[in-house]
Amino acid sequence: MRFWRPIDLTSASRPVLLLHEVIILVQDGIGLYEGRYKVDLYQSGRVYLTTHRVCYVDNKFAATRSVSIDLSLVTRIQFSPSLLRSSAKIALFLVPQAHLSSSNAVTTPQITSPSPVSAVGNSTAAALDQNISLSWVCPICSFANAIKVSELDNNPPPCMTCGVRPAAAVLATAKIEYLDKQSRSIPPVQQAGVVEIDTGFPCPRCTFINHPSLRQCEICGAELVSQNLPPRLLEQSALKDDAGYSPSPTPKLADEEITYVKLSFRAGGEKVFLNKLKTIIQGRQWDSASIPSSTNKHHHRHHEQHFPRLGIHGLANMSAKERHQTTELMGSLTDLNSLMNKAQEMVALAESFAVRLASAPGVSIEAREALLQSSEALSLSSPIVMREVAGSQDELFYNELARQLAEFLDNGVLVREGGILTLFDLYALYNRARGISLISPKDFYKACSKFEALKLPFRMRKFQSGVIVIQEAYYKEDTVKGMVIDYIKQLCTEQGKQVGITPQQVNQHFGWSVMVAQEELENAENSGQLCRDSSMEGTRFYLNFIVSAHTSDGIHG
Amino acid sequence: MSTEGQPFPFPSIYSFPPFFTRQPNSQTWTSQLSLWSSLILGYCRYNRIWRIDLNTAIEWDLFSNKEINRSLKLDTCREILDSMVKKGNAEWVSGSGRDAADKNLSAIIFWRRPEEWANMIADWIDSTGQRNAILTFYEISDGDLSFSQDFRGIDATILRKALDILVRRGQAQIMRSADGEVAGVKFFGVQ
Repeated sequence: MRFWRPIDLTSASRPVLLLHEVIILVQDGIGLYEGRYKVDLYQSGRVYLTTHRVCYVDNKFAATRSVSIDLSLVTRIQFSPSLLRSSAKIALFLVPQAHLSSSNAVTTPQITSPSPVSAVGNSTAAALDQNISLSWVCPICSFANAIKVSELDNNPPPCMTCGVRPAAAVLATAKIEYLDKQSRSIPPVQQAGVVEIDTGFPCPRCTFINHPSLRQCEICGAELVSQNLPPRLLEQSALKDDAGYSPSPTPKLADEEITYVKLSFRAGGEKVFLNKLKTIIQGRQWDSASIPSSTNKHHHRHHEQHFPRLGIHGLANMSAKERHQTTELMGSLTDLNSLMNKAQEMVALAESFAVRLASAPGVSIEAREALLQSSEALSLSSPIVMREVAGSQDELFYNELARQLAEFLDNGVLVREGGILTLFDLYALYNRARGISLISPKDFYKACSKFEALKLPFRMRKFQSGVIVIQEAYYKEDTVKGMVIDYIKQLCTEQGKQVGITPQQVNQHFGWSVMVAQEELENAENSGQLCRDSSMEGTRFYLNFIVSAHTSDGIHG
Repeated sequence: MSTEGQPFPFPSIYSFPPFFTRQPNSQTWTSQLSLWSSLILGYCRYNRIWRIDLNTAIEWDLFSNKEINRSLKLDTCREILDSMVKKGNAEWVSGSGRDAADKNLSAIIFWRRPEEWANMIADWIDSTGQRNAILTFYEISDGDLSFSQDFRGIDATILRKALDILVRRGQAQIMRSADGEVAGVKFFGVQ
């Protein structure tokens, strides 16, 4: 990969955003192309379109296969709609020098990697590196496709443009051509052993000795075959005559200068993406690093005037008044926008204070905590996920929301709550952090139920009473029970007798809310590990001495 | 028999507060029931109690532990006795036509099963040479000869059950007076 650079991800596998960068759109089911060829291993992921970049995050291996490309490098966009079985693609043409300056560009074993072929004479098909890509020309649409050697023999993929599977003969030609090219590219020292190549190829049909660089006989047009080909390849090249067609010339792979990358939209959504992309590129937000907050300065009171409400004059007055109201409404909306911008500035300010305070000695802990909480209360660490980001795809929206929730929980919210939080507490906290454009409980619930599917480090648990909590993924039911029981045992040994605990004690000790504590205790009771003592003072939970006394028949002892 | 003055030695579970709360977990509850059942039987045997009337018994130290300030609720108590009745360790004394709430308030506790009592009486008849004699119920339960017996002061209902078993075995016969009332019992001895 020459243009794509690796990026940092948050714990919830979302790209870490730059200053003033905002996620505009997310699209799932994207494959990457460089030039005309698929980029290996980068074929199934989400693409985040931000104000500054296009970020690709792989769905399976997010940690290692996440790359981005700066929109500032993009010179031109080209859209190609889906054709037959090939998906719609958006090509981003890039500044030619872009890859020269990129010292840290991702390198993958690719088209240009040299093969261990030492000479044409003794190279066999088996000696070919299985990862080398060959190119074959589709006989139907004459598109040059890339294919791996390992895929040649079993079930080759269809043409990328028209979706028709290639005949075996076409692939055989591709292989021969590749070997041919290798023979020409090997250094002269090694070529000394195979001098007869220079003498040219005799045509298998009319025996005319052709120039070695030719692929077809100058006289009769028959395909030329290298004399030193291994027998297996010769057999395959013989098949070619039966096919009855001659493929069009193949473009050379390595020589080609790649000037663009492509995004293939396998799951649709290309139209929306294209529109947003165009808007962003026109806006060139990366140039204007901070958007000046444009408060509505022209806002002034409109003096009510009383005009007669009759006749044409009255009607004209009415419509003028309506127009005025509309513009005023628009004005107040702009005000709201600028308020949001201000809020973001406030958050940045609070965060910078927090950083400064954390490093400064002699600041009281209370002050730090207060500041930390206020910055949390002000906003989330990353821009809020809006429904528009995911376009019309609900699933994607919930996934993104779940990821942001995970980031939010990871920020210390869950730790402060002792690792377990009821769903509605989290809902309140999260919506308070969002501040604006609150989400509905339904969306929230759907997002939370995605935690496990997205392999985020949190999970949702439903108690028997129907209370739903969010907890750290490693808090299995048995783990929690074990924690509670260990706590009671500890109290028992401290006081030297059977001790019962109340949900309030659990709340104080573990930091869980009383409700969660109650649920956890009842859970342990249901599994027979605890028993209850209800009295006027309330309910206390004891280790289940009843069952143990019964089994050991302690009553007669 | 009973060691006067010395109170019943309660087991350790008796001072465990949850023991006095009806446990919602069914498995724990089963264990609790059986613990209570053995506690009640042991307590009744120790104090030679034949029947438990829940109206008064709920105040006994059996059902309320003053030290830990816990006592069994009436409903729970009834539930425990109910389970004992099902197991054959007790029997409800049917209320004399009173309303349903008062029903099942009094129970006979079989801290020995009627068969055991029957055997015991038969052995006693044998050992005291009272075969073919006719005894009144009172003579069995409170007579001079039964003074040191375990069934001393036996509840009339339990005694009747035990004698019925002996009658069925052919070892005794209930004698009735002219007006049909049970007057006494004649023992035949083992053939």
